[in-house]
Amino acid sequence: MVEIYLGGYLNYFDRGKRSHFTLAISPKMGLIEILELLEVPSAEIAFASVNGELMNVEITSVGPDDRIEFYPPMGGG
Amino acid sequence: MGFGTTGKILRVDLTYGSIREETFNETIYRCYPGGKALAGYLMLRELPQHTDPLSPGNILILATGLLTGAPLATTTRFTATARSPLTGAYGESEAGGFWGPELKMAGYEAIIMTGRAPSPVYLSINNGRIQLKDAHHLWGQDPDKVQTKIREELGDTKISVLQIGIAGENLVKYASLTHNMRHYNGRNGMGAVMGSKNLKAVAVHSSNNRYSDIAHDARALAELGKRLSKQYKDHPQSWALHEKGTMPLVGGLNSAGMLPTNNFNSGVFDGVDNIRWEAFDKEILVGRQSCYACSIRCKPEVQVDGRYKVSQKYGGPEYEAVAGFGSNCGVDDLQAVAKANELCNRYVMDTISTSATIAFAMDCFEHGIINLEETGGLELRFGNANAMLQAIEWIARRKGFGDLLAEGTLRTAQTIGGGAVDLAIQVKGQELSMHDPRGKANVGLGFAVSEIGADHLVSMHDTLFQNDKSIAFQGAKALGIRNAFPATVLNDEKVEQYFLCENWVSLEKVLGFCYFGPAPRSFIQVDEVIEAVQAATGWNIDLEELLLIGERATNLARVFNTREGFTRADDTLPKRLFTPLDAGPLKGVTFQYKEFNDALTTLYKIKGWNPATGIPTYQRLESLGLGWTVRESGMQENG
Repeated sequence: MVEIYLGGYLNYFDRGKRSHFTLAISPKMGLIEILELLEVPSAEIAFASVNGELMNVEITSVGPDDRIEFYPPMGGG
Repeated sequence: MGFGTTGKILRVDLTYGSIREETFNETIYRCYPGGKALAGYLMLRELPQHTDPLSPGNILILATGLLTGAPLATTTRFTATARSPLTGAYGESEAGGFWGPELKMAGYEAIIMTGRAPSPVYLSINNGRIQLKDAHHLWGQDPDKVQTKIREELGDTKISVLQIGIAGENLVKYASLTHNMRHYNGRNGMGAVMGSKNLKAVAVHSSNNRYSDIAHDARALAELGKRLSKQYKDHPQSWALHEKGTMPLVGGLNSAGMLPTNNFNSGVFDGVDNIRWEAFDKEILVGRQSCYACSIRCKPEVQVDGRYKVSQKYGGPEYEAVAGFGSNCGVDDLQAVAKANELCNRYVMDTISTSATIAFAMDCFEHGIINLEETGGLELRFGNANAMLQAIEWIARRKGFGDLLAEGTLRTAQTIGGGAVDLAIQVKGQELSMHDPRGKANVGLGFAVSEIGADHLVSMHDTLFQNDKSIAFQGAKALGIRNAFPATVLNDEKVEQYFLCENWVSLEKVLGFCYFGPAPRSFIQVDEVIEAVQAATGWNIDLEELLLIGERATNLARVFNTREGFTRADDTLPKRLFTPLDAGPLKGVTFQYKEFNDALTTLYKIKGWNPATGIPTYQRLESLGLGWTVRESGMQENG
């Protein structure tokens, strides 16, 4: 299980409109695969962090108990 | 059938108590269709050079946008414009809500207030009857009492009351205007200008008119409005504004390493979990309110009955106030932040400038530039919520040290000396909004070049354009945005993107759109904005002409500043932003002087301004139909 946080408007894409939840994943699953699983378009990700460290969405894999945060571009206002 | 405007302006001479109407023709409106453009036109035509902002000679213009009051989501805004007492420059502040639509329905595009009433008055525009009425009994009263009393006196429970608070009465340099106790013309000290005129309130209501009476094609406009009212749910950004307002910015910007913290000393706040959206939602949010005809309903209502008591009657804090009184003052107590916001709303002061001024004072205190003796016993350390709340009270009442802070960061810094100017996070005298431009370079360019001083709503934030497949980027392509770049990059193409988006945002202020309506920030696409203007006016108008209107409006303000003595030297950023961020994902990131100055030169060239002086060239002004401004302002024709 990993902990997922969808910041800003990203929970719009989740079917249950969830922002903060746990997710069962396959071993060494990549962030891109997690986004695909959640049906969140990767183009909407401005940055992602794993356990508080910013990570490259394209190449990062995660493991059990990791906390993964995704954030969209933030437009101000 | 009309062209989207009533064609009428109301002139109120407060010195003599005279009121008269004036009609402008369609040719004028096509060049200056409303809001920022109309106000800029009137400012340059009517305000003498070097007028003291708080003298009777200053004029206060309240102008609706072209589409304000149309049956379209997010077309609610009006501008308050005058020479700013905070900056000495062109002063401008927009608000949404209901007052703008009411003024339009009452039959006016704008009100121009001149002079100073011999004693406090309020202006009533109520179903065709216009009066100046005594306001002695309202002076010094809180907004809820003022609103209730005016509604009782006029026998109209629906009249929209735009008013100043005691901060405006006390000429606090960043006093605001509020109406219906929810909506604020926050920036640039328009409340002080209104207070200097002994004008407590302007109440407006008209029950007989509708925007469709002045629209060219009311049916087309109504159909577009119906479409848009459903469309917002299908766009992630407007959907999120409906669900959460602007609060997700707190956690997001902190994770990105650019949440203003301790007077912009850092971009990462240790106490962020106590003030972010999730805590806000769980602990203090009790409801949402909307502006006129807007389906997004982004405005939060909060209530607190705990360490502090916060009433719902003044609405609730949005991102700027939470970051301003939270992370930027080092305060991680959301209840204290909500209380600070309530006090500002009660006294009607800009939450951005108030919080930034207190954060600056805290920085001075921490550096030993000021001490307890000078602050009158206020221990203004980062994180001291009670000192922060006390400072707000003192500022509004101009009591003790608050009297100095009421002048804003720049004047306070100049008065106390000792290197304080380096800690004043301001441009042209106006405090920065809660966005650290070291993480978004074009926002920094906007802070620097903005005619009204630092503000976050002068262009689009470049964080939106980092991925060319994103929804925001797709929405910007119609404006000419071609390539994606990291937000920290400041190259020539990014500068051009700034220019394109500045014209678009300026146009929003002309039309009366909220920043949260049109793309690329939100859901109303560029072609739908054009469609709205065409339906309202009947004009065969395209994007090119609309963007020129936006650019024209910006240039009017620029010419105003030029004649008041502002130059390229004023288009800069605080010294702190040229030092690297100390922690977090953006550790080490900073503006470089050369890179910044090169970008400024590039921007001037794109805008047709003299690269050495920053003054618009005659050729550019002439091509914008503004040659008259050179002749009337005494500017040199070669810029």
